[in-house]
Amino acid sequence: MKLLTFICFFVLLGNLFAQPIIEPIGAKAWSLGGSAVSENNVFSAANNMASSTEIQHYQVGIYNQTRFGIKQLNTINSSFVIPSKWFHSGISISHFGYEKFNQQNMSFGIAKKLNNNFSIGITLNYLTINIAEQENTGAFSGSFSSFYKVNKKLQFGLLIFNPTQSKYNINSYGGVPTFGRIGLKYLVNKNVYFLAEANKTLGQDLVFRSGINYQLHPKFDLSIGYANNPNYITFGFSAKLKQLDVQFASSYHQILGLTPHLGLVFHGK
Amino acid sequence: MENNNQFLLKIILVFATLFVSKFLIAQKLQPKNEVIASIIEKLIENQESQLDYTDLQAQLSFYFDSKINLNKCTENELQQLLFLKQSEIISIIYHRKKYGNFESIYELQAIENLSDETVFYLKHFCFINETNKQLKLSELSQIGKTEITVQHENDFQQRLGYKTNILKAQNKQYYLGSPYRYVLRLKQKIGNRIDIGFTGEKDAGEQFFNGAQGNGFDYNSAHIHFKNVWNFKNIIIGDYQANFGQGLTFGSGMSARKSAYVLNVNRYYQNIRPYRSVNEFEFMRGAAIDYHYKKWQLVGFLSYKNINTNFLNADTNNINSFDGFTSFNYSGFNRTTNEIMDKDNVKQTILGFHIQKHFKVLQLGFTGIKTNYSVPFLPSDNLYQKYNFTGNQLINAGLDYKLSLGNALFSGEFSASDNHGFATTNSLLLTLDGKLDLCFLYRHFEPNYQTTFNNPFAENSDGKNESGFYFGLSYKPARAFTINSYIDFYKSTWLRYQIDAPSNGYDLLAEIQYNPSKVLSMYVRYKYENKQKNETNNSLAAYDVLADQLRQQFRFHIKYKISLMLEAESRLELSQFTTLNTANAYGTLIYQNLKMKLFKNKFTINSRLAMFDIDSYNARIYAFENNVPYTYSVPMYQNSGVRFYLMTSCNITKNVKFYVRFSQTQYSNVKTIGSGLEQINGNTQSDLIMQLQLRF
Repeated sequence: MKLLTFICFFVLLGNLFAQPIIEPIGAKAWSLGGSAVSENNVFSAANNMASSTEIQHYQVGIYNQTRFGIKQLNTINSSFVIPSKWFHSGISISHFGYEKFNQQNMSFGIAKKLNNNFSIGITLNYLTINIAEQENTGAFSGSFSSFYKVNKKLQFGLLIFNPTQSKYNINSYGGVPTFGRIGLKYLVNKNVYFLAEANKTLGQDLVFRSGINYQLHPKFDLSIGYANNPNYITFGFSAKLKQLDVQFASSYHQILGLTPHLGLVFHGK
Repeated sequence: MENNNQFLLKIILVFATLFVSKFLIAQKLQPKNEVIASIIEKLIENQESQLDYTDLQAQLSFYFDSKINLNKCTENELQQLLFLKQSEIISIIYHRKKYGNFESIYELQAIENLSDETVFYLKHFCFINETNKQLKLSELSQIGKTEITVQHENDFQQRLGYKTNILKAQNKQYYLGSPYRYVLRLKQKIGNRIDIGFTGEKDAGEQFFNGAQGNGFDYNSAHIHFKNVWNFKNIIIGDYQANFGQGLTFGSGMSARKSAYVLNVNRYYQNIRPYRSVNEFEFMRGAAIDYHYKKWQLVGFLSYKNINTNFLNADTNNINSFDGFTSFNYSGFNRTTNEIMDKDNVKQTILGFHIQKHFKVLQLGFTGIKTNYSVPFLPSDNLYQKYNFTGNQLINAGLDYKLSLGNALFSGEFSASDNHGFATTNSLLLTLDGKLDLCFLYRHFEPNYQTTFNNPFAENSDGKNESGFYFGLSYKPARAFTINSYIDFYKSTWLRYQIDAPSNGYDLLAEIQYNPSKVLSMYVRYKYENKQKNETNNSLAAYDVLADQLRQQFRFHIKYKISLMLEAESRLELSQFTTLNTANAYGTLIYQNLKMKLFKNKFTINSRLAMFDIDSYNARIYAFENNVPYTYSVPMYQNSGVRFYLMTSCNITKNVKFYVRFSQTQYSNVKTIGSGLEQINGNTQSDLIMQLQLRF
C-alpha cells in the first residue's frame, strides 16, 4: 500500500518528481537555481561533460539531496573528472529513491578541448528503474554537450540528453526523458557572477533557471537562485578548506517546503 | 598640391592594406560553391518559409563568373550583389571618387565602413584590372566550362501514396511513379558571353521514362543566354525570369521578405535572367532581350507556355457555360492520375516590355505587361476573392524611379491594372553616417489591383489589398555591436483567406549582434507580431469575428570559428502564440551545429543535432539547414522530437565532387507524419540526398 501511495505521489506531482535522476547535480548548482550547464566543476560529468575541460587537476565529488526532507526521495551522486593530455574523462553515478522504488544513472563521458575556447563532450549513460516486486528495467542512452568560452567574462554551455529517445526495456515504464539545456555564465566582476539557462524536456514546460554567486571572501561564496515550473527559490554557500570544497544549498518550494543539498568536492593536485 | 597629397595617401593606403592582408585568413579565395552558399545562408537564415532559393544562387553565380569592375561599376551593379548594404555601396563609390581608382582589391580593407566579411565576399565578385577581358565571338568556341549535376533523393519510410495495392483496391488515387526524386542540371559556359543551361526534374511519385512521362523528366527547362552582344546586354532564349522596378508591376521568382536584414526593402534583381530553378510555375518560356543605347535601356520579352490548373469543363447542358480554370496548380506535382489530368491544360502568353532612362542621379522606368490565357480564369465566388482577376486577359502598366541624392536613395513604383486597380510602393534609404542607416517604406495596394507575377516588399505575398508603413534601423554603436530593428504597420481594406473582415496588424523586430572578433559572433533577437484573423473557437458560430493573434519569438544564436577546419553554432529559440479563447501555444528549439573541413578542404562534414518541442502550428519555428548545392532548406519545426542531419562533401578529383546528406526526424508525440497520400505511419522520417557534380 505504501508503495502504491508512493507511485501515485510520483505520478500526481509530475514535474516535481519527473525523473529526478536526470535533474541538475550538485549543491553549488542548486544554490544557483539549478543552473549547471555553463558551470565547470566535478559535477560537469553529469551536467555538461564538455565544460569539464576547464578543470586542471582531477576532482572527486559527492552530493546528496533529500527532497523536502523525505528520506525516500533521497538522491546521492558520486562524480569524478580526470584530465589528461588528450581528453578529459568523467564518471558520474546517481542513485535516487529507496529500497522499494529506486533509479540509477551511471554515465561515462569524455570531453575534448578543440581549442582554448571551445570544447565538446559525449557521454554514455545507463539508466535503471527498480520497483519492488516488479521486473527491473534499464536503458542505454547518451548525451552531447558543448562549451564556449567567449572571453574571460562570458561562457556558454549546451547539453542535449538522450537524442536517440531511448526507451526502457519494459514498455510500460515509458522512455528515458529527452531534454536540452542551454545557458550562460557572466562574470560581473571578480567577486560576482551570474548564471542563466533554459531547460526543456520534451513534453514538459520550459524551465528557466538563474542564479547569482557572490564571493564574500576568497574562501567563502554565497549564492541565491530561482527556477520556475515549479517555482523554487534557492540559496546556499560554499567554503574552501584547502583541497576540499564544502557546498551547502537549500531550495524552497512554497507548498512542499525546503530541500537540503550537500556536496563535498576534493581537488587533486 | 591636393592631387599630390591624394597620391601619397593612396600609396600609403595600398601598402598598408597589402601589409595587413598578409595576416588575414580571409585573403585566400574560396571555391565558388562555398562562397555562394555562405552568402545565401546569411540571406535566408532569417527567412520563415520553405521556398526555392535557386534564384539567389543563379544571381550570385552570374556575378561570380562575370565579376564587377570596381573602378567602373555603378551603384546599381553593386546592388545586384545582394549582400551589400546601401551605406557600404555609398562608401565604396565615395572612396573611389575621393582617392581615385582602386589600385588593388585589398584597398577595400581601408574603407572603414566595410566589415572584414564584406571585403572577403567582395574579393570574389569584383576585380580591379581588366582580367575579365571580353573575348571575341570567334574565340569563344575554343573556351568552355561544363558543369553537370545529378541529384538523387529518397525517403526511407513508405508514404501512403505508394501503397498502390491497397489504394487500388479502395479505388483511390495513388502515386504512379517511384518514391525517388531526380534532378539533372547541365551548364555549359562558352567564354564569358554565352551560357547554356538545362534542368530536368522528376519529383517523388512521378513517372520516369514511362506512362505520362515517357520522355523522361516531368519538368524540363532549358535556356541559352548571350551576354554583351553589340548593344544587347542580355539575350535569353528559353526559360527566364524578369523583374522590373520594385517588382510591383511585374516580378517573377522569389523575393526576400521582412527579416533581420532590416534595410533590405528594395528589389535589386537583374531585369532578365536565365531560369535554373525547379519551381515549375514562376518563370517565362520564350525569348527576352535587354538592349542598351547610351542612357537608355529597353527590355522586351515574349513568353508562351502551358500551365497546370484546376480545369472546369463547360456544362454541355447549359449554352451559357464555357471552359475555364478555377485555380493555378503551383506545386508542379504530377504524381496521380488526377494531377496528370491537370498538367499543361491552359496556355499562358505574356508579352511585356520595360524602358528605362538613366539621368545623372535619377533613373526612370516604364513597364507594360499583357497576359493572356487560352481559357478564362474563373475563381470561386468566395467573398474574399471578389476582387481577384477573372477572364482571360490582364494588362498592367507601371512607372518606377530611383533617385540618389547624397546619402539618400529614394525608390518606388506606381502600378495599375486594366480594371482600374492601383498600387504604389515608395521607400527611402538614408545613410546618416557610417554607423546609422535608416529605411522608410510606404506601400498601398488596392484590393482590386491585379497582376500575373509580382513580388513587392510587403507583409502578404500576393501584392494586393494591403497598405502599410515600414521603418527600419541599423545602428553600429561600437565596433563589435550592431543593433537592427524594424517596425511595420499594415492593414487590408478587404477580406483575406480566413480573415472575414478588413483587418490590420503590426510587427516589430529587435536584434543585437555582438561580433567581438572575426571568429566569434552572436546575437539575440526578439520578434513580436500582432495580426487579426478569424477567431478559432468562435462561440457565435453563425458568423466569424476577428481576433488578435499574437506571436512572439526569442532567439539566441552563437557562432564560433574554432579554426580554419572547424566551426560550431548553437541556438536557442522560443516562441509563444496567444489568441482569444485558445490556450497559449509554446515552442522551443535547441540545436548544435558542427562543421568540419578535412584533408585540405577536400572533405567537409556539416552536422546538426536539434531538439524541439512545439505545441502547435501557430508556435512553429523555422531554422535554416545546410544542403547540397542548388538545394536550400528552411524546414519548419512542429510537434516534439529530435532532428539531426549529416552532410558530407568530397572532392574525388579536381573536377568531381560528391555530396551525401542524411537527415532524420524522430517525433515523440505523433504516431503518423503528414496527411493524405504523403502520410507516413510511424514517428520517424528519414531523407537521403546524393549529388554528383562534374566540372570540366
